[in-house]
Amino acid sequence: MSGVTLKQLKKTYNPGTKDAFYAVKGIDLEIRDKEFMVLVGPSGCGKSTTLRMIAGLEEASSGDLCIGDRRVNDVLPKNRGVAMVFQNYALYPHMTVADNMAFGLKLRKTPKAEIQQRVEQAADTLGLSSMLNRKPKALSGGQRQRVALGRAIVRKPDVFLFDEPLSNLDAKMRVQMRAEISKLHASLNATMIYVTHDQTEAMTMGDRICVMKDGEIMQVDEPINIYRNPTNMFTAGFIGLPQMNFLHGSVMEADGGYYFVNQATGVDRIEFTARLGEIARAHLGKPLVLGVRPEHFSACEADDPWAIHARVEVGEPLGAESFIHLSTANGDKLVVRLVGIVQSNIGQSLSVKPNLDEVHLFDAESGLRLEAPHVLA
Amino acid sequence: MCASRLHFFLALLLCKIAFFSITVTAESTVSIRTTDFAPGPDALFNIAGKAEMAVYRAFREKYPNIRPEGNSLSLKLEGPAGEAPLLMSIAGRTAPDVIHVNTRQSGSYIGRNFLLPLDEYINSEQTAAEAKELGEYDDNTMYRDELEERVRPQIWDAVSRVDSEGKRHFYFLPFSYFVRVMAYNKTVFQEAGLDPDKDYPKTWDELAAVAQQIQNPREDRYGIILGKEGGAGWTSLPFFFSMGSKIVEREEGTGKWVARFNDAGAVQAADFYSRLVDAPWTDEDGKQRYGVGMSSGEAWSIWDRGRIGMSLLYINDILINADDHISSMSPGELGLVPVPFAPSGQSITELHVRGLGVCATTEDPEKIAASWKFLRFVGSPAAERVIVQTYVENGYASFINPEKLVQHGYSEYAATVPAQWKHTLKFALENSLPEPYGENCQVYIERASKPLQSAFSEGVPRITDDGTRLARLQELYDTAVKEINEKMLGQIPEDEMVFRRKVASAVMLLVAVSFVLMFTYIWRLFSGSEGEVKRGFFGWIKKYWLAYVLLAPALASIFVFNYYPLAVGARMAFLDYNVIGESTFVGVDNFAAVLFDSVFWVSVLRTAEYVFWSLLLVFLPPIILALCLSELPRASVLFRVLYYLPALVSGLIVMLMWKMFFDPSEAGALNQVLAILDFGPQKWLQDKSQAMVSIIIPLAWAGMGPGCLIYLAALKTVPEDLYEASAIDGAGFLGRIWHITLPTIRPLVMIQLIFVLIGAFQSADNVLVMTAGGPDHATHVIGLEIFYDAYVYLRFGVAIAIAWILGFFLIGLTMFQMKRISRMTFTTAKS
Repeated sequence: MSGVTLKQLKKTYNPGTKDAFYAVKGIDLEIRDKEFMVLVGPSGCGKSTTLRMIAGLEEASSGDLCIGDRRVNDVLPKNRGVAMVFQNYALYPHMTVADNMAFGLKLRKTPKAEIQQRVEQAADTLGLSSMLNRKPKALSGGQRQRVALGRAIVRKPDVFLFDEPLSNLDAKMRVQMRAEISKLHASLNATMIYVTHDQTEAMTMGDRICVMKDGEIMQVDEPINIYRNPTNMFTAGFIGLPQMNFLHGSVMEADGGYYFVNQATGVDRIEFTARLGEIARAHLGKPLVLGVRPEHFSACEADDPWAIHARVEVGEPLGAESFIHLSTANGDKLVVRLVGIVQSNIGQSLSVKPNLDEVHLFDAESGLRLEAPHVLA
Repeated sequence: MCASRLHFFLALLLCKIAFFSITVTAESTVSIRTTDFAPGPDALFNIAGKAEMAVYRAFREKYPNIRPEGNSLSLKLEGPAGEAPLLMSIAGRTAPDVIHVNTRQSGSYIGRNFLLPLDEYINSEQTAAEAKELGEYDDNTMYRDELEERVRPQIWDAVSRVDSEGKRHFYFLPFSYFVRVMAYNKTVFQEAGLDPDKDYPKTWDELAAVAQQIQNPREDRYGIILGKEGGAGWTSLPFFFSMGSKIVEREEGTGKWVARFNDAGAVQAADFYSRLVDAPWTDEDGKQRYGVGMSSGEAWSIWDRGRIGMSLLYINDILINADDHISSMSPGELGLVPVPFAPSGQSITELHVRGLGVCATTEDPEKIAASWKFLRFVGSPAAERVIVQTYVENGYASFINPEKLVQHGYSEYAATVPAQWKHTLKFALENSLPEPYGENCQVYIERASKPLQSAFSEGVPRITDDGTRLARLQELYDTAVKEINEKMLGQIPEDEMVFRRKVASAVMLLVAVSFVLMFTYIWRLFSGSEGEVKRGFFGWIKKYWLAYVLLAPALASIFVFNYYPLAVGARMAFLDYNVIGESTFVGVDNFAAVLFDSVFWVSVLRTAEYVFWSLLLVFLPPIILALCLSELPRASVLFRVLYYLPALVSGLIVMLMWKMFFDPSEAGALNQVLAILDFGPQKWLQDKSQAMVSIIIPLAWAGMGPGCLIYLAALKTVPEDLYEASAIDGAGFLGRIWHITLPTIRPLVMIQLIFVLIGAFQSADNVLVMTAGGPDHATHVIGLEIFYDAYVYLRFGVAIAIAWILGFFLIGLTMFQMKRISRMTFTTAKS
């Protein structure tokens, strides 16, 4: 019963002045009950503003914001039934761990015994039992964030809000906390909205991901769908690491088949499969972008019909896989992922071919993926 | 600059100095500084001032090579503190060469060696004629005949002291005499149905009856001006004298001064006086009234309006009506009669003497000689002639002592002087005694007012049964006399003293131990970390020498200006310290004097009051203001500037400005504001219950901005997300401030609290400027008690002892503060 619904939600700073800044430009989003929704996007995309509007820390300029069935635009933060975990933990420095967690309950006049019980339970869940009497100063970053989590948990809110909670942690701790938050979601069975700029977190944690850019929603879907079927070049480029390679060119028809041709030189001709040919036919001669994820390249012979010829710029053998940074004759940069340890020398020629079943074609002007129906989830 | 050039300049400089010294010697003009009779900041601009200047010019004419200069002490202080600037300048060796002395100060001045004995110039054994006969006559010496003419017999003992060998030493010479008489407004008498030429009171009973007949507040008419507060001791003095009370006298044999104003006559005088002020009676309309006098602060302005029948005031032995309050009244309006005769059959009034002496800080023999010539001249018949001439020429002839008119060649005017005035002056001069002039008697008036003040506040004069009333008065006076003997005159029974010394020793030990403990504590708190690598002394020096060199100037200045005085002060606490001459060691007596002095304990109480109001009005408001300002969405800079602006006005100016605002009359700035709000005028600094708050208000006003700024800076360091977290956790505006803001800025709040507390405990300057401790000790804080002890009562040892005890009070606070500071880290605020 506590999904979160945003309808034409807008946030404008300094409206009506020349400094007017449209942080969120009228977004629609439906977060289902008990869902783990990740808002992801680059800095300034409006994801934090959106979250803060849900929390009530920012007032929405227009639009509707509902938690459950209730429109909460004018409800005070404390009455929205939300709890929030901040990037900087925002622990009260003068209170002990236990007091930090109990603070919200005390203000709500919860009976003492219940407060104690809830705090102990949360501490137990988070492995904080031994540090209940410490001050935040005496805790490590990971422990502090756990206290912040605990503070949210004890409140038993309808909706958890996370504002980049792992950004201040080191890599190892991040991985660990990521798992813990996921586990919490499973056990608490609550709605969680999680803001991050880290697509790994988005991919691993979210039931669904909402990709945002410049105050607009780019795509909302399950992680795998976003990976597989990005609706536009932005999503395609943002999700996936290293990011998707984009080759600029156009489609030409020859010998009864369709070929993707690099615009500048026309040297690399890639023959399309039937699926792509189908799409390509409608866009003959138009500037198009071919998107290929690094893992959808494989090394091939130089005379392979689908070969793209390039020179090695940097090789990054990681053990299980190797990332090779390449530069094509027309200046396109590619990153390819090859399985196992691939030794390569800088300047060496290398031919790679894309797995055409996995490539995407985008309209160079609109950035939209061709063929894929452009419908928001 | 090359060396030869430097030499040239030095040579030139030396030549110039030599040249100037030659010219100076050639003229050999001696400059002396004097508190009276010289142009300067204190010169008066009325007829008396004009006369003084005439004397000055006559002196210059006679002695062209002596140039008297005015006193540079232009600091003016309230009440008893008024004498402090001169004493401070003596302590600081910047006093004038010729200083003003009156009888009540003379005991202390002489006892403290402030005055140079005039032995070299005064020969009280021979007359001039006798000296001439023996061929020993010296024109520069004052012989007995001149001395007797100059010094009235009543004050012979006040201006001189007899040493253990029986030799009499003179310390100052009078130049002007005043006697207190009863002035009455004839118009008021007529209005009240009295014949001004016959019905003026001749006895106490008549005084009470006449005053009662005049007293009619409904018609804005009052009987007589009477002091009720600190001045009561002074106003009532003639009644005490008339009853034959000795007030303060020198004990036979021991030669010690003893207060005697609790003898039978004294209590009767006090009873009469207090009943004039507050005895119950019923007027014609059957209305219950108390007292037949007017004793409010505006009494004299009501007198000037011509609505008061009688007052006791000074007349001068040259210009009879010199007092400002009667100088504009014609003989037709003003009656002057002796103070009424007491039941004892006597009418003895107070003789006030203005005199000059040579300050002991003057060491240059030429200046001493010049000073002698000056003080001999200004009271001489020659000077008197100039004064009389000035008055006559300015149309005051009819108001001048007829004897002086005849003496100086203006006999034709003698007959125009009202006969009543003439007789009154003559009678009063003959039947008068000087104010008490024993050691420390400069504070006699204030101390002698206390039993009267107590009597008024207890309502003693309203007791109808004579026996009960007199018994209570006797008790009050016994207590006051005991106290005055102890504190002022140092008369304490030996066994009592032994007990006090024991207590004082214990307290002193406590103070000493706590100071030692505190210093070790602070030392440990700030000592370097234990992780320091051990290196030899030279290794240490080698590494840190530059740091020590850079520290040296600061260390030296702190040592010279803080620790050296502290050490010297520690020694002074055990001395009966004299600014000039030998100081005697008195052990713990100073501490004993403090601990058993009721005024000290009053000052402790007042300090507590001061601290309370400081916390309420100086410490808290900036926090609240800062919290409010930090909430302002816009224009916060404007408000910050507005609140900060008062801080740009320097401290003393703030005080003086507010003192004007606090004018108790209806024209006072604050009273005008109150009038708009439909409130009556308040007395502010002159009201016992308002004075303390009124002193603090200017501090609050001036301190708000700067105090607030510190907190605003601290508030910026509170992370925004803490507020957000608390908002989500459920804290409202107050909850947020209570749970988030205050705990975060708490270290700063504590530091500020300690600063305000310590500042409040030590405050003296602002109180001195605003009220000087009054009214009736209502604002007499410890800092002020120290000031008074040092510079008014000249008990430096006692003052230092109080300072040490004050230090003891503050130790705890200081330790706490040090601990806080040692833990503090300083960072810049996040933007």
